[in-house]
Amino acid sequence: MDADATMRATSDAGSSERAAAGSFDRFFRAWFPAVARSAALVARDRDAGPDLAQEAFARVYERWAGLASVDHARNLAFRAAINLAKTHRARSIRSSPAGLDAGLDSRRHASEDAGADPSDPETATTQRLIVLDALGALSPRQRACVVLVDYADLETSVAASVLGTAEATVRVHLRRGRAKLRERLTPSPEEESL
Amino acid sequence: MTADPILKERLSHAVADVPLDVEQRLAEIRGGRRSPSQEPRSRRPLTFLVAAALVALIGLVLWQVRPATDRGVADTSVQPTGTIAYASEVGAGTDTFDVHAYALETASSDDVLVVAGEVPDESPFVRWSPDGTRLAYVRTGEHPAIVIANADGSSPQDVDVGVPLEHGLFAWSPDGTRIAFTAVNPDPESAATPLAILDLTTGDVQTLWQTDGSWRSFDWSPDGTTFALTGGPLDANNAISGEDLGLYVVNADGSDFHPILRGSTVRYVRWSPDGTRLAFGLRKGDDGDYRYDVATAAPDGSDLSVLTSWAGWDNVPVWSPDGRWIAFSSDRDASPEQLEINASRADGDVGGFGVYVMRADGTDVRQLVPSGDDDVRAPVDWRA
Repeated sequence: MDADATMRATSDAGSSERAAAGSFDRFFRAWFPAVARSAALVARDRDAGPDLAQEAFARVYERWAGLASVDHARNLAFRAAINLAKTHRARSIRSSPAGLDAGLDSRRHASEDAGADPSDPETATTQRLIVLDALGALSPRQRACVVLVDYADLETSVAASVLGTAEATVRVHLRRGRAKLRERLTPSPEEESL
Repeated sequence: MTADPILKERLSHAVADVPLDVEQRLAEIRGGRRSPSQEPRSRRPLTFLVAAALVALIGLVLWQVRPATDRGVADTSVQPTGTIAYASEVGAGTDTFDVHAYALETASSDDVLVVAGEVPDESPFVRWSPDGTRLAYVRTGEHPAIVIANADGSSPQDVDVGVPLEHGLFAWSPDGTRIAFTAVNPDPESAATPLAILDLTTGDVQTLWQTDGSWRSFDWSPDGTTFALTGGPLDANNAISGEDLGLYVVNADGSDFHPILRGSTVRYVRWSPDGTRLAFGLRKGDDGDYRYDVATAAPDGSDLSVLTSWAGWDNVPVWSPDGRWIAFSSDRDASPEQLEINASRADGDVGGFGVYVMRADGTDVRQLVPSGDDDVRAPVDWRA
């Protein structure tokens, strides 16, 4: 994934780089995709991710001159986006309790009937919804830890800084979140035999 | 711990084609425009005013319908202030706790003070030093130690006390130069956990053998002369007889050890800042270690006042620095299903415990930190 390479390169260079005013554009282009998609996963709302990330980056931009490093800015962007995503998710549940889950079962069955061809757009869409649905089995903190480490490729120590918690806490959430996610994403023997 | 490649692929695929519009969004940020999902700024003041009016109206209604009390008239102009440290279980059944700081003025609780997994679930207490510059906790388990850190939890340092630790119970001396803790009786046949005092300047440890019993909590009086303890002395079978269970006091030099409240299960004792009252959880009924009320009494055990009357768990009281308020843990807002689990202690899946605060006379109970059904939360300290 191109974004991954960009992210890593920026992170390597960023640890000692002062977050000067002129470098915000480069920082934004490097990190916006990962932050936006992380927010989409935490919110379980693909459409909302970029908007949430834009709001998070706007907050970073306001504080840009005073930030000590690009790493600091990156952590702030992730933290703001994750917190906004949690709030967005809570609001979504209140406004539309069925939300994402509505229609997923029928899509899942339709996908199975179609033979689960991954190149089929309907199947691909269903698979995406299945992942977002499975993320719903995780607590918000577990979801944030799994997304930051397993999707955004952050070290657990960095994820801890992002979430304002201890690395040991991240590891606990990660372990439990991964277990739940694997359980939800692994087809049961009955499903496999269909 | 690195990324799981299979999960990474599934997660990446789920959001790979999310349209980003990077350059457009960057231009909008540079132009001072927030995300489209944010409310137009012109609507925000109106929204705020409506919300504030609703909150005020609800507050007024709740105030009018609050339970009547005959405990006297509280000074309603004084509001709780400062920062409460509260323990929060990391995950249901994990037996590990974070300790958060809840700032009352801003109603925010983002900061985690202490590393999870180091604070024992049995007594996840973290306490700021009397001058507020440090905090301490006891780490039990494989490498037990008293840990002293900066007030925000940074730069933790282990303090070797040279004797085995038990329970994670401890208290600062009022001048901050000593820490009392529950030690392990070196006799392998004994289950006793006598109090011991560590002098932080010399490293010397003094064990108060007069307190060679089993203690579930204790606290150091504000004038430094006395300890209050809950639990009781052990009999020949390493058990506490029912009639010996209760609330005890002992001088800080180990003399004059005696009960002030016997025959009751008492937990989580805390001395009021002015030294005139003890607050504690008082068990009611005989159906397990669950139904408690928060109570206070004079240091000689007289003038017992039961402050709460919830049918479940009201416990772990912590005084405010000015002595006007008491924070405590309660499951009074848990779901009926969770309350059944709590009452039966089924599978250890207790939960629904939030942090509450009330005036020291038991009135004006407010929820501070709510709890989901999976959560166990309790206050552990309060500073100005």
